[in-house]
Amino acid sequence: MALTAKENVHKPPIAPQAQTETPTPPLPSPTSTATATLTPTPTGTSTPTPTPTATSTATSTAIPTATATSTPTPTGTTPPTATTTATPTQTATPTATATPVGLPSAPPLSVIAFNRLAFGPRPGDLDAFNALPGATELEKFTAWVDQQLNPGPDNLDSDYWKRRTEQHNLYTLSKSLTQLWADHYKNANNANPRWRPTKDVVIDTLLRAIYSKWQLREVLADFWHNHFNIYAYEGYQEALWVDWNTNVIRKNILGNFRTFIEDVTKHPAMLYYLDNFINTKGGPNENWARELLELHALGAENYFGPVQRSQVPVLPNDTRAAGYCDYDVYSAAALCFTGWGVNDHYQTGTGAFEYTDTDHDNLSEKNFLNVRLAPNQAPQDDGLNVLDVLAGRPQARVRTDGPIENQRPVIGPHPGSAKYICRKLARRLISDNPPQALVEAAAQVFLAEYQSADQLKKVVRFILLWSPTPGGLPLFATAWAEKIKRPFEVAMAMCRAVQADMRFQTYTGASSNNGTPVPAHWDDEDEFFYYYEPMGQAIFEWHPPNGFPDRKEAWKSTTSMLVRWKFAYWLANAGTDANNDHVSVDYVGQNSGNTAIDIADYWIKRILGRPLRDVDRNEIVRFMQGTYGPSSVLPAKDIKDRLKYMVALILSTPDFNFR
Amino acid sequence: MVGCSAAIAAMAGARITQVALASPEGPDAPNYETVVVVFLRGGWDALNVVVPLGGADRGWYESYRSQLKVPTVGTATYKGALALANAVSNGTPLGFHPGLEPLLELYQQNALAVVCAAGLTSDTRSHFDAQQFMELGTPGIKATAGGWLTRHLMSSPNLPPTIFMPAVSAGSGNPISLSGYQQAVALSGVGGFNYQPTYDNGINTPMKNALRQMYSVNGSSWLHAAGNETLDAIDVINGVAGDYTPSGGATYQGGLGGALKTVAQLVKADLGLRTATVDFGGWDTHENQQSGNGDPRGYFFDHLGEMANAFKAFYTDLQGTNHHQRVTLVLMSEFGRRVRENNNRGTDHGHGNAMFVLGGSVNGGRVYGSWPGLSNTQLYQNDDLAITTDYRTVLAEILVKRAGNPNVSTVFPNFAYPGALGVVRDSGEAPLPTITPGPSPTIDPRLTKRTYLPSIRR
Repeated sequence: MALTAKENVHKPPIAPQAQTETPTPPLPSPTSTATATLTPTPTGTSTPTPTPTATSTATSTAIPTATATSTPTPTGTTPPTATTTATPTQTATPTATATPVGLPSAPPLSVIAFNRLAFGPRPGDLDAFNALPGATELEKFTAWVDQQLNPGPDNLDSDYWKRRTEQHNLYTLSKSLTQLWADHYKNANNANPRWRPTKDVVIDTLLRAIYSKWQLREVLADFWHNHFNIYAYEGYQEALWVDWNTNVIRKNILGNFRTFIEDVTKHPAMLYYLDNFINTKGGPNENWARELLELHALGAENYFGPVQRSQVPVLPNDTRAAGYCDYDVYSAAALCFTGWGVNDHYQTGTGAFEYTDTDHDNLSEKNFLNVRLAPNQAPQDDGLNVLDVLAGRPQARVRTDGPIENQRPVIGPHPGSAKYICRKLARRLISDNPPQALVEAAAQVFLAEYQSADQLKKVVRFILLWSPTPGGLPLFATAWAEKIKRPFEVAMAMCRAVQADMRFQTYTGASSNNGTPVPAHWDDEDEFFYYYEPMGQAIFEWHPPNGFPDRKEAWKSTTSMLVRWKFAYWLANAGTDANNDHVSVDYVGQNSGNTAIDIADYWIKRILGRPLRDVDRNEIVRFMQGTYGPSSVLPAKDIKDRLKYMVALILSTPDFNFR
Repeated sequence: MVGCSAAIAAMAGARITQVALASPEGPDAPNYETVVVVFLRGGWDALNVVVPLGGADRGWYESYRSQLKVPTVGTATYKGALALANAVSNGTPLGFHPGLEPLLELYQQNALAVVCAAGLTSDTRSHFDAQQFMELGTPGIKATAGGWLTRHLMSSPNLPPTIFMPAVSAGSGNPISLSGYQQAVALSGVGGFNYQPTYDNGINTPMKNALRQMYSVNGSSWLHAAGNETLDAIDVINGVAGDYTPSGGATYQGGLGGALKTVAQLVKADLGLRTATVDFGGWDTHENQQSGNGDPRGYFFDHLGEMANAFKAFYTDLQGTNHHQRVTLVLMSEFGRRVRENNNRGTDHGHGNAMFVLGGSVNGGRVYGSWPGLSNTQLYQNDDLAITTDYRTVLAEILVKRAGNPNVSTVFPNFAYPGALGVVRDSGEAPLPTITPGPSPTIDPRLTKRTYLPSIRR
């Protein structure tokens, strides 16, 4: 729509909304009534239920401190005197100023790497890391990162690889988009249901997270699936999910962002999810255009709101606007993508991307972020130019069939996009609030490498190795416990820690009367999903386009805490239940030691990569010893009965949940 | 103020009657009010919820929404808009979308009030920015520490020293409006809120005790605090858990119904609940809002119906109890939608919205606020319904008059509270005289049709 004269009145440039923040109103102090009536936890009697007498004898036995190991004892950990220390759990205000007790210092770099760049260590992972070439921890880390950023072919444990391909029968993973459309959309039936491709990718994702050697790739696949989030179980995307996963997300996670975003734009899954498949000049639909700007490229941090174009400042040393306003959303971007749809014609449709020139708004002149787009561009060029303005034009585009302006030279990505993407990556890989200096520095790499085929790989590597002080330790090595493991990470990490043998249910094998196999909904019998999905991060099932939240605030609610403890408890029971066909864990077979202390220390070290604070370790030992002493040799039956639950307790410690 | 103290943990396994006995408060305690905040995520198309039924605006409305207009009269197969008493604002008679039929009775009983053209005044058409601004309570400012409900709970005077469960989110997580409030309990339902079987097999009790020691005693970081709060909540909920039969024959259905059922159960358990938040998504209706042109049935109709039935069940469940007067439900959404429909039988992101307030102390049966008009010069930025009531005005009134918290400037910094609209009454105010609902005012289609044509305005 055209701006009226009134709207064009020049106003001084304003800053984007993200920068108009006025000083933070402080949280009020609790009222004096509230403060005065705090109920302190009585020291020493805080255990809610009296300890059974049988154990009270045992607890009186002093537990020797953990024996020295080769793992450096964490420095800066508060001495284990917590029972006499007041805890802010009794404090009303969330802005307590006292130094929190129990916030662990950064563990060895190997442990950080496997908790933030992988789904937790499996037995042997940390040793393999430490065996890498290099004289220092940092050199080994660099070697590990370079290994992970250059993944070879899938090298799953051969046993599991076999299961993946044979038992799980993920037969849709090899289908092309056209086949998926034909088999699972157009001709979907009981044998080839629409949901099958999505379910196959879910199982594949779980298997890779648990067993793949290329863990960083899996972490990044999860990141990009959320960055370009699509709710999977509807419309075209359900049937085409295999193609979206393989040929858009996984293809590009270490590649070039401009290529990536064009693949995203043209994929029928996204075209359907954000309604661009019905965006035509006769009926523009802005859904895709808005989220492209707000979530995929520039980010809301570069949104100036519904102001006039003239109020948005221009980038220094550039002709592009510094950010976007609503004009850019529906008067430019939305119109530029009119006609970008899906070949979904009745009967003859293939499901592929299809540009329909007669549905495209060719006649109006667009102005996107201050870049003029004359009428009658060559086919698709309006949309491609929008992507170029956002993500760069690595190669000059020369047309012979468009207006003269369409001889377009290379341009770099918009700096706003560079910072937004780098900030999100750093938030995922390092901490909830990455420092601006890191974001700015990484953005420079993003901008400089915009023509590289491995632009994103270079950006990730830079973020992981960036140090706030030249020659100092990377921020990655010192940041710890600022994030919480999200449900996907915590569940996968638990399965990895105990070497769970997962056999996700894929097919009932039941037959109907005429012998046709009848697929059942996967979740019917596989308890994994029953315990995993209430954790709030059901895979590919986040409805809004912004992806699962990445900050800890979203994942430390009471429900979120409870369900992770329940999952660990379930893994203890189900893993040893002979009647459960879907998961088995050999706790006893993996055990080492026969006293409560030895057993606890073995599993703590193996799972957490370093000792627990003594106060927490004491609880693990005390649980394991039962009615015996901490150093008594335990009967085999007691080990069998209690070991799995002791492991569940370690998986439920605060230390296991930090990232 | 504290949440459940560790002392309460000693009551693990206690039945609800014991919890209530141990509670320092009961329904008669001063200032024992529960505010239930329902957030409709995705941008509610309020223009098709509270619909102009006559006058010039009906003409403008029909000109903007040739496919999606809610008809003033129904046909043999579907109903038209539901006319409302006391619902003429600035000369424009307003009515409900027929999907809200279950709520019509509550409106007529003065239990449900409507605030038209209310919303977030800050300029944004981003879902996520708008929700954040509203829930922080500071339009245009993202750096605010804590949500508006957090600041309400922290600044509320005269709260009892110990509250078992001051704030609950009926869902898997806490909303931004409660950010920074450690005592906020999130739960999807009462039944499954259990760590493990409670019988003592020599394993379960020691495991839980170990968790208690590690999270409640051994540490105090943000994660320890989260775990401690969870263990407290488990103990309290275990005292409540059990079969729950709603009162008054209320029938809860759907996701929103389940969430409100949980809230009602907790309200009745006398745990001191002061705020409850419930999310209900699915309103980002860019396409196929209804199934056919001119026929109001379809997705939006069904979704409104689910909402209306859930509200009705919640109200009915509490109506016959001594909690009836002290529970107030308020509904909001991040923005309304574009006045002009798009060509996909949908609507894009807009601005002005509507709010509902429901409860036993609501001066319902009326439409509050000032209808801004729909002519192209009256629209906000020529596109959207304008906002005449800041959403904070409605929330502040509920906090001041119901929850007894006068600290509006703390809860909503930099907000000039213009005073109460009169949507709710405090304990000293008498209910408005009940209006016997006469026959619904009928809109003569010929009359309204004559004034439809926008050109007449010239």
